[in-house]
Amino acid sequence: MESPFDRPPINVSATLLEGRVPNWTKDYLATVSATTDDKGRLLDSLRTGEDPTIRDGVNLALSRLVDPEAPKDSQGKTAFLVHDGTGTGKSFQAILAAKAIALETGRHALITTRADLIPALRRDLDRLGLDDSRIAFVAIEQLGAFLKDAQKQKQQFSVAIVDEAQDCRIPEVRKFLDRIPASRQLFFSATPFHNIDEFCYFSSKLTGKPIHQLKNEIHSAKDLHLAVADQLKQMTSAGGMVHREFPFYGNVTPAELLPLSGESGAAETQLMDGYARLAGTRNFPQQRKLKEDLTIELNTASDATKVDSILHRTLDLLSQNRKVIVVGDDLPVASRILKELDGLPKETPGFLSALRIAMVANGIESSFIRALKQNSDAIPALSPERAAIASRNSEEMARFVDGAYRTNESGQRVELRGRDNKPVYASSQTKVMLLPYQQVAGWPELNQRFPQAPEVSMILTPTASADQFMQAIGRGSRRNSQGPTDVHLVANDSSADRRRLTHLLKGLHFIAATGSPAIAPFLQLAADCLDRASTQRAAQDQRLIQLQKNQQTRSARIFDVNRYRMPSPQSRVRP
Amino acid sequence: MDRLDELLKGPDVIKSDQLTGLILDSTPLLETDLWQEAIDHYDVFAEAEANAGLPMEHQQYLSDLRVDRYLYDTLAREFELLDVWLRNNSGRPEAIQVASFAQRLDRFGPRSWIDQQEKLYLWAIKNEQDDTAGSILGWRLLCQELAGSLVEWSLQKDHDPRGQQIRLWQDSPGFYPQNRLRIWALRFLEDARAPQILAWEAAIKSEIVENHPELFAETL
Repeated sequence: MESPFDRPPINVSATLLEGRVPNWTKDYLATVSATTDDKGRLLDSLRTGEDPTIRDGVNLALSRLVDPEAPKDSQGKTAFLVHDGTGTGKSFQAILAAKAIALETGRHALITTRADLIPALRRDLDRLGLDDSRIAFVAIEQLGAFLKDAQKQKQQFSVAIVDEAQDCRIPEVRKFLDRIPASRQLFFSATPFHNIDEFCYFSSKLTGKPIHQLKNEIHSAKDLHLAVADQLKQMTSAGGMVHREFPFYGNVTPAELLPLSGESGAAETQLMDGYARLAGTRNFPQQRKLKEDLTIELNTASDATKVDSILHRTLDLLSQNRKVIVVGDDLPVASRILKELDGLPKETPGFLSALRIAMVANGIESSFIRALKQNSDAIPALSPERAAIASRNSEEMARFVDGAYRTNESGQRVELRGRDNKPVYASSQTKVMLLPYQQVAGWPELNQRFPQAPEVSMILTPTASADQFMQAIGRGSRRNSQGPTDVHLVANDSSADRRRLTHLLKGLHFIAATGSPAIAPFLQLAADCLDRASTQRAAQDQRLIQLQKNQQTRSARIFDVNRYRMPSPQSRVRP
Repeated sequence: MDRLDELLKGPDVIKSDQLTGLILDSTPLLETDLWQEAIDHYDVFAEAEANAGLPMEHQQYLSDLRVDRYLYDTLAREFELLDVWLRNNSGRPEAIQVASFAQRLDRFGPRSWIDQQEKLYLWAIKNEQDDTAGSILGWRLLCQELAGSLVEWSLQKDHDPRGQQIRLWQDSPGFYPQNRLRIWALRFLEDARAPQILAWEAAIKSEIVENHPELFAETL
C-alpha cells in the first residue's frame, strides 16, 4: 500500500471550492531569511520546493491579515485560520508567519500555545536557521499575567498567533486572546471544530458576524450539515481560512456485528424497565443522574458481551505478527437493578479491565492505560491523583512503543540514535495496548515510524463521540507512519450500541461537513454498522413477536375456553 | 422514538422566560445601575499572577468560582443598599416591592456555600452509588443544562435585565453552575425558570441534612 505521506497533503479547500481557491499575490515568505547559511537549506526548500503547503499557508494568511478591507470581529480584529491536519507543517507555518508579519509591519509578533509545546516551536525555529528576534513566545498558561504587564507597558503586537487553537474551546483562553493588544489573530489547529459552538466561534472570528447570529443561521437551516459546509465555503472563498490534510493511511474492514444473546437482550430490557421504575420515584436531580447511570450500565453490559470475540480477534492478529491497539470504555458497574444470587448488586468490570484479565489468562501481557477521572483536569484538588495515574500511563505506553531508549540523569526517557542520527529500532515489550476513549488524545510517541516494526491493527468498540473515535484512529495512522493501520469496529445490535452508533454517525457527519478527507471511510463504516445492527435487531424483534404469537396460540389451544367451558347450570341438569 | 431514547429524554426542565410578576428595577431607587457597574468593573486579570502557570483548565475552574463569588457579592450589596433605601423611604409606593424583594435575603445563604460545592462534588464522585451523591451530581448536571440555555437565551435578549448578569457567564460557564443560578433565581424570582432552581437546591440540602449531615458540619 502506497504511503500518502510521500505526497503533499490533500488541499481540502481546493476540493471544497472546486479549484477556485483564493490566490496570494505577494510572497511574504521571500523576506524571511535564515541567519546561518548551513541551516538555510530547509527554509529554502519550503520556499521553493515542490510541496507548496507551507508557502501557500503563510502567504494566504498574510494576504488576509494585512488586508484593511478584511472582515473584523466584534473586537475589531482580523483573523485567519489554518485548519491543517497533523503533520502538514503547522508549527513551521506559525513561526514563518510570525517572522514575515513582524518584518512586514515592523512590530513584534506574539506566539502562544501550551507551555510544554513551546520548546518544540523553538527547536523548529532553530531548524529553520532563524532566531527569535521580533517574536514573543508566551505560554498560554502565562497569558493572563503577561497581558496584565503588557497593559501597563502599553505594548502592541502585530499579530497574536495561536498554535493548537483547539484550546479556544476554553472560555478563559478566548477571554485572554481577545485582550492581546494586536489587531490580527492567526489560528492553527488540526481539529478546530468539534461541535457547533466551536465552529461558530471561529466563523464569527472569520466573518465578523456575531456568534448567536451564526448559531441561529445554522440551527434554522433545513440541513445543518449543508449549512456548515456552505459557511465553510464562504469563509474559504473569502480568503479567511485554508485546510489541508493527509488521508487515512490504512484499511478499514467492515464492522464485525456480533449477535446479542437472548440472555443479554433480556438483561437490557430488565435494566431499562428497572430504571424507568426508579425514575418514577425520584426527584429531578436524581432522575438526571439516573440517565447517566443507565447509559453507563447499558454500555458496560453491551461491551461485556464482546470480550471473548475481541480476545480471539487479538490473538489472531498477534499470530499475524501485528501490534494491536484496543480502544473502548472502562467503566465498571455495580448495577442498580440487576442482582447476584446472594441479592448483592451485580458487578460488571469495565470492558478494558475484563479484556486485560482475559488476556492474562491467555498468557498475553498488555499495556493498560487507565482513564483519568472525569473533570479531574479542572479541579486542582485532584491534581496529585491525576499526576500519579498519568505517570503510570506513561510507563505503560513506553512498554508498547518501539525504539531504543535510555533514562538520563534527571530521569527523562531519551531516545537512542545511531551513527547516522536515526533512531535505533528495538522491539516493544508489549504488543497489545488497551486504551480508554477518555485517554485517546495526545501520545505523540505512538507513531509507527520504523519500517521493520510490525504493522498496527486497531480494534474499536462503539463510542458516541465522533471526536474521540477519530482521535483514536489517529493513534494508529499518523504522519510518517511506516506502515498502514487496519481498523476493526466490533459492535452488536443492543440498544446501547445502536444509540452510540447513531450519535457517532451524527458527529462524523458534522466532521465530514467540515471537509475532512480522512473521515470518509469511517462515515461509511459507522453508517453500515448501524444499518446492519438495526436490521439485525428488527429481525430479532420480529422473531420474538412471532415466537410470542406462537406461544399465545399454543397457550390459547392449551387453555381453549371451549374445551374447558364450564357446563351451564342448565346443562348440569340431567335430562 | 426508541424506548431508550424515550427513557433518556427527561426530566423536563422549565425553560420558558415568562414572567409571573414585576421585576424590581433598583436603578432609579439607588440612582445607579449596580449590576452594570459591577460588570464594567470586573477585573479579568485580578488573579492572573496568582494563577500564572497553572493548566488552563485549572485557571478556568478558579475563574468560574471567582465569578460566582463576585455575583454573590453584587447581590449582597444590592440587598444592603435596598435595605438602607427602605429604611429611608418606607412611605414611598415602591417600598412594597422593595420590602418583598428584601425578604429573599432569608434564602440567600452564606457565601461559603459557593466553596462548599467542591467538597460536595468530590465526596459525590467518590460515593456515586449513594443516593445523595446521585442527587448532588444530578443537580449539577441539571444546572449545567439550564445555565447553558440561559446563556443562549441572554444572547438573543440584549436589553432584558435578566440577561445582564449572565454576561459574566459568557467567559465562564461555571463548574458549579448551581452557584450562579441561585443568585440569578433570587434576583429574578418572577421568571418562570427561577423557582425550580431554588426548589432543586432546597431538596438537595434537605437530603444532605437527612442522610449525610457530616457534609455540612464544617461550613454551615
